[in-house]
Amino acid sequence: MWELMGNAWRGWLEFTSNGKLCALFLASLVFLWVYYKRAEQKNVLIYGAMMTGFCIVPATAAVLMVYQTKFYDYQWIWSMVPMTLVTAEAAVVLLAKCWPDFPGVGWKKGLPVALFLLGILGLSGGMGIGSGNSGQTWKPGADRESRIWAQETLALVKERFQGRDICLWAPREIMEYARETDSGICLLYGRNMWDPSLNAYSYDTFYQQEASLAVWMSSVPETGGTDGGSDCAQAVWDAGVNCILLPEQAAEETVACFEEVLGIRAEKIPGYYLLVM
Amino acid sequence: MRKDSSWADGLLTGEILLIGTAEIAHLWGVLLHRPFSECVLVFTVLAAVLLAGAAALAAVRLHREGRGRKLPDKSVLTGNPGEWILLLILGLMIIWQILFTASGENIYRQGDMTVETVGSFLQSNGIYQVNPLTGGAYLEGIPLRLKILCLPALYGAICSIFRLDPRLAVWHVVPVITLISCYAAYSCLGRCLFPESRKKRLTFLIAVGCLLWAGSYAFGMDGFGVLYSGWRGLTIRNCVILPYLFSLCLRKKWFQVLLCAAAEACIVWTLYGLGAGVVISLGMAGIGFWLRHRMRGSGEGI
Repeated sequence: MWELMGNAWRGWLEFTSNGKLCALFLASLVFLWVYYKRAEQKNVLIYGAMMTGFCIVPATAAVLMVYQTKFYDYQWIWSMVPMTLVTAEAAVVLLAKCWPDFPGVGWKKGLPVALFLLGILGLSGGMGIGSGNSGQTWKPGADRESRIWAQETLALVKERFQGRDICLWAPREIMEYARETDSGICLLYGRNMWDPSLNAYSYDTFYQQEASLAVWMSSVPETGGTDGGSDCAQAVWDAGVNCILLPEQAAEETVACFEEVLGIRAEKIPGYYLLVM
Repeated sequence: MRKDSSWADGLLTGEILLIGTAEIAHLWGVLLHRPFSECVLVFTVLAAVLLAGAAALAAVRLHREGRGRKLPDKSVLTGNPGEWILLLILGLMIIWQILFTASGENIYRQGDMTVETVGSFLQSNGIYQVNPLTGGAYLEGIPLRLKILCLPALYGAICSIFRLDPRLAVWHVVPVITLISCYAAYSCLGRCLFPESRKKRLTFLIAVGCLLWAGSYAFGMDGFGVLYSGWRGLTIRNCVILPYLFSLCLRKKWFQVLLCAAAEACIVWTLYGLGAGVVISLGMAGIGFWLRHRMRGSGEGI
């Protein structure tokens, strides 16, 4: 229980560390509480205030986290709090009070208030620009080149296989793209290798050997893969892989090692060495 | 639809029923080990029946209105220039956001394998026959509580019926539908909160739009979900089902509240079916009851 409460407290600190919409919501709640008297509004307000308290106090937040199943993190207990609803309602009430005859008379008071609210909102959040998680959002614009590269490489691979089943071992960007675009291609290991949160969706996990292979493959561009190449070749052969793409930075001795263990010739294609079994 | 219902109610109820339909088709495949193509057929038939029912209801309503018992039309704008300006601002904002989400230029994929899952359903013609991340057979399988969630089957059915690529359907089409549904849900809320003024309702929707932009800074915020990952179950729950559920609670439409809570259990991992919707419904109902009791006690009446 103490651990859960600790998680809840850390979750609250993280939740409020990036943007400040939560603070805006609390201010809206107080404003509406003071300003509004209508019974129907009170329903939402009382509920909102109550749930906000539950989400902030570690003991009750921990209970809510257990209730929403431990599969989800702290921030998701805030789903039960009507943040957007209450904040938007407060904005409407304030604007209606300051600028009742929009867009006619009262603009001298209403316009500054509207601009002030927009400014506060902009400072509280991201306004869609440079989000706090921008590093985690996938932007094809940014890595479009590598995706086009992956597309062309996969087209070449499929041409070589001529409809045969493919079990692929390749650098991360190729494997990710392959599985995303063609469900017929099997992989030695999946995206959960570099996105551990995906492990929550399955009882299956990868083995130590697969993890070692992933580490080795990612090291090839820097090291040339000279260390442990033959072990890797043997391991992927045993795992049933029939298509290997080694980055073109792989050292000649590494490629030769693979050719020797697998008994095939590597083909140089743009950016990679292709080994088809 | 009842007298106090709107187009938004129709849209959202339809979507919730579609989720239910997809769940039936999904369970058909999971529990009876039927091929996915058969699940798509089940979904198509049930969805067609639903559509026919909705069309019949709409026809009856139109017929009734045509006979002179015309319902007051609240949707026609008055000549107030303020309403037109607000409508223009709202329209531009929604179009901007639709273009943003439809482009699929910014999506958040961490911890998500929907596209791979949908692709594997279509490829293997079965539900969770292979591990979506590798295409190989499962060694240990997946938790049943995840296996019964129906969104991948729904998206797979959409791909199968309309011959769409899973990436196009999941990353481009579904987020737009979620965004529009989000505005529909808040439109229902606006009608409950500000029944007397269309201007306030429009302002409310604009404020919601601004909050969605502003809230796109962190994973877990409504804005982030709807703008960056509109296909996820959590986003649909937080931005569509829960706001709609609040509006239903305010209108005391308890049967539809139950539908919302059930829809949540179909798309998000919940505690044996008990999700955020149940907490909200019980909370709102309890507070409403307490307020009425208190008002009666003080002799104010309701």
